[in-house]
Amino acid sequence: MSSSYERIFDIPIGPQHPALKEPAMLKLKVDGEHVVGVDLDVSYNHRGIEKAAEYRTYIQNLYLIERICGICNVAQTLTYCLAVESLHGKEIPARARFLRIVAEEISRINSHLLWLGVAAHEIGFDTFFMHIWLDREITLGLMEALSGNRITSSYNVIGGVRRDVTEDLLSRIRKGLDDLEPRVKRYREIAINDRSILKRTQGVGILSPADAAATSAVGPTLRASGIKSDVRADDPYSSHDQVPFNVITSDGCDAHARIIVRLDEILESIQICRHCISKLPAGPILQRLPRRAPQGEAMSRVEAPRGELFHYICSDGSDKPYRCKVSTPTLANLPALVRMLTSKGRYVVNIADVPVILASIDPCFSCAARVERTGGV
Amino acid sequence: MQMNAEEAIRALTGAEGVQEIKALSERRILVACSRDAYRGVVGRLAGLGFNHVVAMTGVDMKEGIDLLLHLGSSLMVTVRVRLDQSRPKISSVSDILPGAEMREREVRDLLGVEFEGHPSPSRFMVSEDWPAGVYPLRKAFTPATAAPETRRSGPG
Repeated sequence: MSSSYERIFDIPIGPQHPALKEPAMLKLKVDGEHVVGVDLDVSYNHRGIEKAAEYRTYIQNLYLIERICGICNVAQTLTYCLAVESLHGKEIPARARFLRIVAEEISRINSHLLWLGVAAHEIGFDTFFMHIWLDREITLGLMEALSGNRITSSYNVIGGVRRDVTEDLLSRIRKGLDDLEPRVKRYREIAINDRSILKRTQGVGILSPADAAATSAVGPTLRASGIKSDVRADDPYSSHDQVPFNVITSDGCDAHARIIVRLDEILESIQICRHCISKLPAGPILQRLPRRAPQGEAMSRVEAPRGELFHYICSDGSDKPYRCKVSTPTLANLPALVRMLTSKGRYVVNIADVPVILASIDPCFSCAARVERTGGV
Repeated sequence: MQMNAEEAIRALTGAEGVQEIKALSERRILVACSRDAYRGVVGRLAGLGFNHVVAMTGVDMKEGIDLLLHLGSSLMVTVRVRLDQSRPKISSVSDILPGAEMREREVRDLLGVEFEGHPSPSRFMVSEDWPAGVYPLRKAFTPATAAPETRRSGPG
């Protein structure tokens, strides 16, 4: 059968595009308004951080690894430090483990609020975006009080944490969390009830539980498809076995479920922070470790705000790693993104929904290609 | 619920082509196998419930390229295969584990490992004007930018 015109058109979105905050290229195949195929290209940002890590000492690498992602910097350094500590075969002091959880959860709240603002902006609800980002300042203030920096905190160091907390600081953190909690509860109410949010996100970007598991999706994207999987619970890495918390899931399987899961996770993170502050053990915050790591291999993983973050370090006994591998949650979620964009049946993906679907996995393509950048937009 | 380390080691002992199984820690297992047995071992692990792909790592060990596939959500099993340095080639497992598809493309772009039967031949991690046959994570590749100097270089 031949026709005088092609029905299927190619539409490139990116690498620079007003609807994209990230340098990625989506080559969409569209039939009218409907997306029928997608090809991804994330090669615009590769600057070879893994290679650079082989030429730097373990301590220099701490600051290189931190710059893979501005928002997940706490998770990145935590994963790296866990891998190096595991090469040395050393446990770090209990107080440092609890302080690491506090820093990690504050950065998770920060990341989720940032994402929520971006998601609100993507669906055209900019008032919501402004309010959320104003409240995000609370978490940035807490991070500054804890580590001295708002974004790139340099809080985790090999063998512990860099700064101790005082009673005065702990009460400031408690106060900040108390201020934040009612705001997040209010945002959750809005996200559940507001008609414009529901219309733009419900039934959009469907990822069935079977697809989520098959594509090895991670983090809130996986949990919003009803699968109870969280590295903090499955593979506890920093005294998480001593902290009671719930793994948040939702059965919605759509972009709306991903909003609700992240909002509930913020509330859960606030509880985790409160618990860690009230049960903070006394003692040292740093276990000094030699500059050279013993020969061997180590693998570590952490539940970063966007999902499972994995580091692999191979050591040849010198002061520089032989190989340092980073696997970020965005890369893990790309196959799931492709399934969302090409889902068929009741919900054929409309081209206008593409930015919302893309935003719903909280992508960070610079993380995926491992390069320095700061912030989310 | 996923199996624990001892159960997993017992289930894999005696599988065809498995050369070595060792527990690195409570929730980390390393399984070394031959290139020909790799697909079978991965299939067996997927059948045991290790179908979550955590990552795929390629390491240039100079005498060969090591391919590591990390699987599992609570217990993490790493499958290690030694490949030929001059022409690393292995069969793709992206049909067994769809999550491995982009991981294999990444290793192919950065280390030059050829995955036989991989559905997508296009470039993924390096840009389109990157020269063919140059693999940045091989040890033979030297970056153009010099590494920063370290202040002292004695035993630490």
